[in-house]
Amino acid sequence: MSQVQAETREQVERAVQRKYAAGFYTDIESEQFPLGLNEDIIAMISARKDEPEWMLEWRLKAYHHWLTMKGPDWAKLNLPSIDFQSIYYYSAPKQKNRPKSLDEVDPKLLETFDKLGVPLHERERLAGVAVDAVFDSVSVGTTFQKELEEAGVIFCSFSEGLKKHPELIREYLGSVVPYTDNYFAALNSAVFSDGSFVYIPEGVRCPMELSTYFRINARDTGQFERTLIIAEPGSHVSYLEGCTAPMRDENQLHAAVVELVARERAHIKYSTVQNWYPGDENGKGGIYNFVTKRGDCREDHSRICWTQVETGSAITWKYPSCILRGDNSAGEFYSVALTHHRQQADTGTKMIHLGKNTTSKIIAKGISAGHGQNSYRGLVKVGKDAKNSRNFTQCDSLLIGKTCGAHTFPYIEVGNPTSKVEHEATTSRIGEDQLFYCRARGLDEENAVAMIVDGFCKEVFRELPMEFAVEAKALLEISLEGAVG
Amino acid sequence: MSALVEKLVGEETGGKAEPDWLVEARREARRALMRDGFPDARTEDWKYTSLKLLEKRSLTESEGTEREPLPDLPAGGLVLDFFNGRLQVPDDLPAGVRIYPLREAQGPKGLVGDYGGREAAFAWLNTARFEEGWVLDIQRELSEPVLLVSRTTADFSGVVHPRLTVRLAPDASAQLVEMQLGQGSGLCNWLTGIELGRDSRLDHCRLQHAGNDSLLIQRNDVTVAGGGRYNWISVDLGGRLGRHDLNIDLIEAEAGCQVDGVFVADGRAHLDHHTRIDHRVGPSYSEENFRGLLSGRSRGVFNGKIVVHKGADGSASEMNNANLLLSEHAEIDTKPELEIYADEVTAAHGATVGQLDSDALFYLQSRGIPASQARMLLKQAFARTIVEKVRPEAFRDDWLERLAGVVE
Repeated sequence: MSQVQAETREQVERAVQRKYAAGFYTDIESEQFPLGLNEDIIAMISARKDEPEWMLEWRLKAYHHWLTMKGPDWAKLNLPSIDFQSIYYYSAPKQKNRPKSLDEVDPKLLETFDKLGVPLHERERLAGVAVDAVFDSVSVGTTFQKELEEAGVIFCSFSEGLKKHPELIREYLGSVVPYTDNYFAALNSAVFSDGSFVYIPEGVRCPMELSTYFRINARDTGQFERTLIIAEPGSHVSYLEGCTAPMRDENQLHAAVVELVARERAHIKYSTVQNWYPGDENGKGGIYNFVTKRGDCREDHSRICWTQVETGSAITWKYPSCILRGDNSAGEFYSVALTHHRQQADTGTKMIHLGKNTTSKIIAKGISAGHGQNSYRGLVKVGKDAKNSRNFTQCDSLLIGKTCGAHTFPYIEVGNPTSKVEHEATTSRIGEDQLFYCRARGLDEENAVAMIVDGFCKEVFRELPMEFAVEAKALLEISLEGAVG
Repeated sequence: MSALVEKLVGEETGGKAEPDWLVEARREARRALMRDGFPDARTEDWKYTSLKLLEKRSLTESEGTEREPLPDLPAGGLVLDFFNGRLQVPDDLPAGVRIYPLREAQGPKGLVGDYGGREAAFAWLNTARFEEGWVLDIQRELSEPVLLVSRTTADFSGVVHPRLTVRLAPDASAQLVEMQLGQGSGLCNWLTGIELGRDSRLDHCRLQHAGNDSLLIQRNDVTVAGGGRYNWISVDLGGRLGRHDLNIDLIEAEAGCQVDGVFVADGRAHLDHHTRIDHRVGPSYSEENFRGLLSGRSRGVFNGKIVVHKGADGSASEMNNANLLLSEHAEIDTKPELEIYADEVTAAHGATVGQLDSDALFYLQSRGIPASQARMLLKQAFARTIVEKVRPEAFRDDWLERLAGVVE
């Protein structure tokens, strides 16, 4: 073997190894409820979590509604039929007693999150991010609770929130995404097992970034988490979400619901780096990601900003939205979605302008490579009373290779003569001249592409908190590996 | 809605001497209609356009009325006069032009097809019910325009299904000027097919200046062969319910099309334009400009879709949609869509919804033009950009005059 060949082989091997770093599996004893979905399973989940009676009733109502619904077929996705009876709806690592502090958490779990680069241990104070780590169906620990408590901020797992603050949850749960909203929201409402609960009191600026890390570990389980963030008047919070799963040949289901409520002059910033296992290059395995995320700018001058970097999942179906109810409220959506190999994404946003002087901005960047199919689907709706409202939308698509697809489906509905809506979209491939320029400067093709893609996404990355921006950039590079040439 | 389907589909019209392929095509159309029914709010392509109005109208099969004389036209040409849906076949035809009934065609190829599901219900309905379809065959370059006039009388309250296929041989070229001047409260369900041979060219200008009560549903399926060119300019100034589907299929390399349209809607008018351009082979080219001007309680819908199929490398397409929303009760719904499956492609679209430019208004007023007149000027200018492209000039001038009459 010549030296060049040896080097090439080495490079290839390295690339293969780099592919999906989070694809490992943690061998930990776990407890699972029986396979399938029925009223008993729901009752078991509810009982395990010591939930109040009304919570179980709500779950069952959602379940009965779900039974009457049909899965969505309007997205530009090649959806396989999902057998909801062959999924475990509850799986949790076995713990003798609920740990009182992180020191009592099973070291194997801590190790898992360590490996994923999630700073769960308090000694990693420097990271300065409070984390709620969700492993399969349950939260295994939340950091910095004491510091947050001092500021009056509630940040805990959903189950804990339900125990300690049932009145808050009862008031707000389902007020943004009712269980009747859509097929997957109904399913989630019936079987959700954990998630995060955040409450920022009036006038408080949350002293640190809050973060939830979702990890699917067990085989054949679905993850159904629910996040609820309430920002009282004048408060401010920045929340990050990350997710990974082991590499498996079977598909796994993730159906989450996120509800945000922003009251007067409150500001919520919600950032996601979604890196679920995307499946292999032939489309085998990977997570089906069906997520309902919606923010309600309920009162005047409130503001909600969604930023998402979607590089993982075999299928992504996700439309983080803003209901701009309060006057002068603002919604923003920044998104980078990448599909490679056989990945499919149908993602975008909805901006519903109801209040006066409401503004929204949408920047969506789609990148398709390999056999990936990437769709932007968005709605901008201006109601009759949304005087002087304003929207700007830009969605750009980048195509790498001849077998991928990039699609744009923007719905614009305007019913007010004082509002202004602008939409623009472009689709193109990476320019030969751009590539040539980079290569003339000594960059190899892969690096040149990475650099161009990074530039293409800059507007979105700028909106991410710094740690996330770095991670997002690295993720894109890895995800695009082998896309060129 | 199913009652409406049954009423409009009616009994099978037997007895006429029609070839087997046409009898079968009509049966297939009836089957499709009975199976899928009419589109409703859940049918994606009809999301914004309700057919409730059709249920309210009597819409009985039209009785033959005596043909009224043709109104004066701005210029001469080969006139195809559809009066209450019936064509008066012109006496002298220029050399290289032939008109014959659909039933005399050799077979269904290019004349009837698989139109799709319930979103295509009206194409099926036309196929099931048309009285006499026509084929216009153009073999060479025509010097005078073909003038297609579709009119219904003020007492028209029924349903007609006019149908015409225009075929241009390779290297042929023609101008087609279409005027939709329906009156009365009935429904005109038009289906037009256009086939452009290699290197042929058709300039198609369409005016819709129907009465305030008229219902017009139109579908125009165009295929363009290699090097062919289809230019379409559409001006909508009237009507109560107007739905137009324009489907352009660029089936070979170097085929191209230019689509320009403007709709001026006022009162209770509901005007819905759906366009779809398929780039099947590259390189092929398309450019689209659509404008909407909405006042009163009108509603405008624009859905522009561009599909660049796998292998259509080197294609370029651009689409623009601009809308002025001028009254509190008007509404515009627009959806510029792109579906791209090839990578050496440039595709872009833009859509805006806004009001008259306050700077421009201020400027005109500072020059002594009263506010109301300044507004009128700006509105007209917005629409003129499109209408000024109409040819022949005599029609352009006539349509500009009509525009001035509508935008006050």
